[in-house]
Amino acid sequence: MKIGKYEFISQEQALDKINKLGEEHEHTIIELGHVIVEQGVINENEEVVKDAEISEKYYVDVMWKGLEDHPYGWKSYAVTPSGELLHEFWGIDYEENKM
Amino acid sequence: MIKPKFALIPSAYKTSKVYSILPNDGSADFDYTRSGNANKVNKDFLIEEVSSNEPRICHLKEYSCPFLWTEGTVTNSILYSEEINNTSGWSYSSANAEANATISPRGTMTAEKLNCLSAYAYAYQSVSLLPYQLCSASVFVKKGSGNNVTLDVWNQYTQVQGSITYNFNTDTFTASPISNGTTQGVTHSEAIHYDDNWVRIAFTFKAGSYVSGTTYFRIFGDNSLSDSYVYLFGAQLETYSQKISSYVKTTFNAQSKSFDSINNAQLNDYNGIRGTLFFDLIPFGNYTSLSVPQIQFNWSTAGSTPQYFALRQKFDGTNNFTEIFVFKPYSAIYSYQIPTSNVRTKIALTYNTFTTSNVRFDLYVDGVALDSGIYIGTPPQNIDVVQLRDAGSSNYYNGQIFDLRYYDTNLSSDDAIKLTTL
Repeated sequence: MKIGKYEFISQEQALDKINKLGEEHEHTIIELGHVIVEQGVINENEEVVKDAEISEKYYVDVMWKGLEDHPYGWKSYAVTPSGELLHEFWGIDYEENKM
Repeated sequence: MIKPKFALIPSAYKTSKVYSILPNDGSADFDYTRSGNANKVNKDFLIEEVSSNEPRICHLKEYSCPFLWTEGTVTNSILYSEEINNTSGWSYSSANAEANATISPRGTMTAEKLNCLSAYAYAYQSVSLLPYQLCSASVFVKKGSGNNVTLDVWNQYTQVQGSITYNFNTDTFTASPISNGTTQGVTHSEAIHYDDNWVRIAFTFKAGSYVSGTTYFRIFGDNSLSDSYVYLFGAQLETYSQKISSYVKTTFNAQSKSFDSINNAQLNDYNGIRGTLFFDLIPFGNYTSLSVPQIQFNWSTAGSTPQYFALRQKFDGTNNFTEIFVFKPYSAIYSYQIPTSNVRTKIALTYNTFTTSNVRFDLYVDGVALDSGIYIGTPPQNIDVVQLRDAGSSNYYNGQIFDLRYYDTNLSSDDAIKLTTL
């Protein structure tokens, strides 16, 4: 089992990659999507006084089963962040299992 | 009534194994795997974290017996789900939050208190949703000084995506706006009771069409009081969800619980001529028509093409169905679709080969003889393996199982009705 983290330019591009994996696989795919970069602010009149900042990139994490390297077409979008991660698989250490 | 040949009534387990009650020689026990941790609800109705490959046999006050909880992957995107006082994740409108204010659903002093300083006060967090997707929102609540608590998901342009208000005094809730399956709004809502008067309020909603602006997850106190407080714990938001899943704790980032895999109970010499399959479960709705999670009783196959009885979780893009499906290459020889309502249901399917080339199927649901059908052709072969997935794929059954049985005879109509009566 290996964990890969990916930054795609759009949801369409991410879904294209995911769909090409087919249905007969046991990988765990987490579409984080466009994530919140900075929280928005609402005032007491329910007016948004500051929009949340949402990422332009579309993020996907995958727990690959039976693979030691990124599948064809995924490597170009792989990232290996350090420090605080956007997402983790609960109870599984990313550093020990990263692709 | 006769004894079943095979029965999974969740009670005993060890790491990587779920024991079937019958047969008692261990031949039909299930293999179980899950990568990483998950939460279960223990016999004291408290949330308890379990490690990799430990099956989850859970207890809720709503049910008199435990259930095996098997789910797909669950991601909670709310940050600091148990630290509603943490300003790295949460903001407040006319409210503030105190940490460790009372005993939480874990049984530890870790629940928060939301102090509401006006009649329209709330804690909130920005969230990112995909247009038109099904999502589920939930939070554990406990009565403070007010009578009500409200949870909503709200977008600055398309307004309330979904909302649930729970009344502590009457133990009732209302949800709005209601979706018809295609419009923005709530498709399912519930209030689940835990120990020490904690209630997990939850709703599933179809997100609207917004393409800009910010969406917020908000927890309100009693909107009819100018000064009130409520206790909170464990907020959760999931996308691609037809029903709230087990709770997943987060801190500074989103966290995912991996899917539960339960498979390969071996059945030997089971009668293919006549028999009864019985299911007592809560099958969750599916969110995509691309996959069909299922519980599958496989027949011995002469070739590589699977033949099976299955309880399948189907979604046609608008509605969910629990489908009883009997497949023999290369088509269904019996099928029936029951609308899925995300509530407990009992289903029995009997089959009886009454000549060498005619099989009669009878379907009973919740104490009612619902359907019957006759297939003209070679009868089924012996059942040899039970799987909670589609053979060869990752379509794992998603829901709660109270009882799963196989009888090697077709039960009488009276017995089948008795067995399936809720």
